[in-house]
Amino acid sequence: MQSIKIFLSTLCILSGLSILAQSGKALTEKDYYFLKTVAIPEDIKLEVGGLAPMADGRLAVATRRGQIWVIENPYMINGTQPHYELYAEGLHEVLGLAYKDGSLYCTQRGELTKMTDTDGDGRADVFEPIYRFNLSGNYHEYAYGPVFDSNGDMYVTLNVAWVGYGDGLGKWHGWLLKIKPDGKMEPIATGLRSPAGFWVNSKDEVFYAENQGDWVGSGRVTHLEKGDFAGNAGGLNWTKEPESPLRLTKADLAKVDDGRPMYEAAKSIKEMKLPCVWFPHTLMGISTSDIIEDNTGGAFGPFSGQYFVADQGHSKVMRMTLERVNGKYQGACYPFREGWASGLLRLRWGTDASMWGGMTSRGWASTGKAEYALQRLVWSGKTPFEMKNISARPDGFEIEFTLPVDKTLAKTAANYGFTSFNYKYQHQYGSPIINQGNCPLRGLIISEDGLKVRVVLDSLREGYIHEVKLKNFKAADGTPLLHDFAYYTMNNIPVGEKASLSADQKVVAVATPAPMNHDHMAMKTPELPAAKAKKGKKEHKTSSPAGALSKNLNEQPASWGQPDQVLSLGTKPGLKFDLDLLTVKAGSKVKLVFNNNDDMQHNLVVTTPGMANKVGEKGMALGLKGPELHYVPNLTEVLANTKILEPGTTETIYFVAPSKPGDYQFVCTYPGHYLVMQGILRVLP
Amino acid sequence: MTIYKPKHCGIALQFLFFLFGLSVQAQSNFYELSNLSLNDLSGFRSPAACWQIVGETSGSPENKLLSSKPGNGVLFDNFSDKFRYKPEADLYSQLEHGDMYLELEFMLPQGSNSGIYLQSRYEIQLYDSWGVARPKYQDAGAIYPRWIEATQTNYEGHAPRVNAALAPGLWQKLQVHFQAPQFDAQGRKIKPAVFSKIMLNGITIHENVILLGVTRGATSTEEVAKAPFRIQGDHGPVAFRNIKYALLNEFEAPIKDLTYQYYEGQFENFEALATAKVTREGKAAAIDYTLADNVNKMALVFNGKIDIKEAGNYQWILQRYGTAKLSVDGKEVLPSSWKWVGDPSIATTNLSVGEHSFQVSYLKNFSWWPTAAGLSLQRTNGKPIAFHTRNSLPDPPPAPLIEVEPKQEPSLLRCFFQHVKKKKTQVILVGDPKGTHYAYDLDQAALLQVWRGDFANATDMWHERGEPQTASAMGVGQVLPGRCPLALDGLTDTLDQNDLKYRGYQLSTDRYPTFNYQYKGISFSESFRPANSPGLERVTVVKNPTGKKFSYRLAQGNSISIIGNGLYAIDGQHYYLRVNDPGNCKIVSNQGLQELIFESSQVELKVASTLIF
Repeated sequence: MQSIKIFLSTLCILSGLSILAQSGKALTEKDYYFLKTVAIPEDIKLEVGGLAPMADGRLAVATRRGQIWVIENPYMINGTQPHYELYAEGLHEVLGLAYKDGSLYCTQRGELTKMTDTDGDGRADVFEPIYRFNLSGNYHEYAYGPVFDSNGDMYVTLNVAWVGYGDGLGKWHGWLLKIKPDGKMEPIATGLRSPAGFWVNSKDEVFYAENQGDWVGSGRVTHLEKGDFAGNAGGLNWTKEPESPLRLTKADLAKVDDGRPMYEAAKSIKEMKLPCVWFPHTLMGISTSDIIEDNTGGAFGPFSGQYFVADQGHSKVMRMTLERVNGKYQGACYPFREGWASGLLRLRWGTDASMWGGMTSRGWASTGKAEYALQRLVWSGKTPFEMKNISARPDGFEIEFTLPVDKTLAKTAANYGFTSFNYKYQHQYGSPIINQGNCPLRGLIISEDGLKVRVVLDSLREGYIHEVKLKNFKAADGTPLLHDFAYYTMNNIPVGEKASLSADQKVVAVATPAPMNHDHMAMKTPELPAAKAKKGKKEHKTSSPAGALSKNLNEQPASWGQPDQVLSLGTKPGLKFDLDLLTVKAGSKVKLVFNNNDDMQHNLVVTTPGMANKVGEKGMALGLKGPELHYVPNLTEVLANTKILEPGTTETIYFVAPSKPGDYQFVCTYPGHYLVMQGILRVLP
Repeated sequence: MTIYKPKHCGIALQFLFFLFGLSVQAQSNFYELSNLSLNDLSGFRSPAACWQIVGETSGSPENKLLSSKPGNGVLFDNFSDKFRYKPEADLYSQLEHGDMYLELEFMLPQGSNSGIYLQSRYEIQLYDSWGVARPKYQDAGAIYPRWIEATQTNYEGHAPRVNAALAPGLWQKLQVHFQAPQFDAQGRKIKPAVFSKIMLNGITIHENVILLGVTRGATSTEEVAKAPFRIQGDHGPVAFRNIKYALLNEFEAPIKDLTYQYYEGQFENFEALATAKVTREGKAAAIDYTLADNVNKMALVFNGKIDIKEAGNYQWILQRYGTAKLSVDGKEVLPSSWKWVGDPSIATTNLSVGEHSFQVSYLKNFSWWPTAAGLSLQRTNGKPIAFHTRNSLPDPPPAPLIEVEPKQEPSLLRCFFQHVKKKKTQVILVGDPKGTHYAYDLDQAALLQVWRGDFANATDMWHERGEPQTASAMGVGQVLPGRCPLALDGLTDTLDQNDLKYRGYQLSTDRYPTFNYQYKGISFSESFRPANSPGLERVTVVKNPTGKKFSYRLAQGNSISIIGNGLYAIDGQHYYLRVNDPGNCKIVSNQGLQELIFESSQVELKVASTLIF
């Protein structure tokens, strides 16, 4: 029975699979929201950098190759073909597009440009620079936007250059700028690293999505107000300018650059703005991109007023809810819809309340394999059973659902799990998950209508990300929960009255620990390899569950003498190993050197024949424990593995080749990689 | 026989290091160039009377003749009809060559024809192909066809990839890398002749073309190991200068007793090896980084000996990703340094006949670049001998070409652009379907480059992340100084964005851009069109409501000479400028350059000029 449960919850994570009780048919994300792919003429490289839906039903698309296409009939009504007109060309890597009052506005590397078709032939003939951006000539100095506010002013963001770290080489790179139609520029906020997506909401508030990198432990969304510093040091080069609304310098950051959580760093850096929502790296996505607010008034489903955040590397859209606590925004992120065709960079609303997604994966590999794509996400009209909104309470959370819950299941304390954790604030690239801790469940109050569950918890932590994990949840009508986890960023614990629990609302004994792992097998007591146990040195951190490390031998066993075979394997961009086939002799002593030449993290896991996918799935299902376990599940199918290797690092492992000949496999189990990043380890007799 | 041994003649040595793309292994050459003296005709065998040494030649786009001034340094075929089709009008070098690098500059008048025959047998055509849209195998830079006498037909000619010819009367540059045919002891041909690379005016027009036999008009159909080169002189006037060459020779330097020591670990530098343990050691057949197990955390030290058969200067070419050093006979000749594979370390040592020891060490402590380790030895102008395995110094695969091609209408391409030594970030390239293209700096209202042929190579912008993010010109033309045509406060080099304000561009109905500027109370716009004769016409319209006095700069160059009727030759006959109204123009000096300018305070003004190249 246990193993069946594990199987189900694993799949829930992977594809949002649920089973409709009445019909017995499995319902997935795509039964609620389906993707329509726009046909692209063969000779057009539609590497989407910007999208601007027009009220007359046309869609303007900007490309990384500097073209602006206006597509007539992009909704392909009744299966009719879309028609592409080249509105403009020769612009420099356009990564943002907007339509206003008969003109299209775009950012190219060097300027914010207004384009107008004055002679009515459907092609722009006047190109006016509204504002010119200073450039050092570094490829990483991207410009994004504009997004208009209600006043008709434009916001743009400028990426930092990449020189082994992010630096604002060109003036105002690493900044959010506000630019009036007459070209007057006002610098608003800095600390932006790779601000490819941002949105001005219906209240004229600006939210931007950030990518993991230097000073950025994980993806996140931050509300930017004038004078804010969002975390990355690069843009601080320009706080010396008289127009700068803040005076913070790089030197000021040195005193907090020690890996403490950002929440702690912000205590001594008053300009530092905490993200309103963290999007935990690999657990939600790997490279957050665009943001849009659901202003469809329910025409796109039950999430009106919430936000959608795209992810380029994972080719998916996530959902975000916000609330103001102590005057500042904070909130939660949830899985929503994966399976887009390419790297999802742009989101915009269509005229029919469907969601346009513009994609490109050139240079940054994505789970969606297409080089570029244009798709539209359409609501089927069915309401998925989802955690609609998680809001903070002084002693826990209130979880609101889209459909009334099955109260019996909702009353079962074992169906809940809450864990808090954080990331390091540091100049190094990314961060491990740190300071993980459980929040024991103390009480459950289910609303009369079954739409809300108030969870009362111990050990809430301010400044921490809280994982909310449900299992075995069903709606009153039997519909299983489509996505069973979410992450709430608790910058502030709200003040107010705590819940008073009646006897039957109290949770007396909670099974410990809360079931954080989808794969319980990973929690088994690790068997340390003899070679390591003997040494008696502190090889592992005591907290480290050794599942990932039990088959990770970095020292040559003393008994070996010499290895029989030395293999070398590397990586290539685009989720590839540099070799598809390695050959070893059965039973031989193998030394394998794994070089991660790529710019992403990877590991190498050797599996029994045909088991690479299973091991990959289980690795992904490790959830919060994943990073610590190096995404290696503790399975007999795993024969040997490396740890997760940072870009540009190497690890040597030792193992004895299986005695039975056959085509064994090697795979990278970093989330999102295993389906494509595989090879054969051929064991010869 | 006057082949200069530069060392002894006190002529400055010129070293050229040729890296063909990134394919370092096979094609890195280190040449010491010799000048073929053009002080007199002694470098040639029995020159006919049409050949003269002069000081200067000049011409114009229309003139069928070149004029000359006395002096030396220029070899001039003052052709007249009595030399037409006379074999004795051809000029043969005193020197005989096999493998050779040859470069020279040439000038042809309108309609003229000449050619360079390597080994008197394999002809690269020189021809006035100015303006030819699709060059054939008779055009400038073509490898001339072979000839079947019986059927009177041409075959196996090689047209240049693009027409890289400039206008008549301009100096043009030809660079040739030639491999002679090889013969065994019995005189049987075992390897054909190859033009490994030919460049005309800086454009690669052929690469690795195999010659299956002599071309039409060869001195003899019999192929040989060595022969003079020959200049065709019987078809029309032509002038040459700066004839330079390197004769490339085979040599032997057998390697022996090669051993290696492999250290596994992340070493900061070679000093760290002093206390490190050797992981493995043994004999090695050749230098090979794959002797290391962990190719990204390693040091490899090779010790060996070479047997030198001929005393002389030898270049050691050390290549790798990471750190490396080299000692020869116990003396460090290349100290430890960190480099990438495309930037070799080169040391010249004088080696006596006999055995010499060397020690070469490689260290790598990162993995974001691949691993490579190579060491080659080359006698001055010898062909390099590799001491490494082919695997150890791999050729990086070239990125696939991404080309931008104007079709019916002009193409625009905003990009980063390399101009002289500066990467400019606010540049637009404009490509014309008729084939005359230009690069324009929007920031400075400045023409940066004009060219003809194919338009733009965008590979470095659009392949993968496009890290250089630069586009480049794909044809032949001129790089210009890149300055704003309007000058208010002296002839300054660059203008501040606050003074010169770019106001955007509009496209005409046929999609040609006009660029608009505001410059301290003066507004002006600039537009460009391909000219009727191959060239680019520039029109500047100035609106100067306050009647301020300004200068308009038509051209800048090292030298500017007046040809007449509004035609000027810029930079010593490198390109022409035609000015519609030359009346007020004057040539002034500014910071070591000459500038062709006029001054005006007119309220409205339209200036037109045409660049001819």
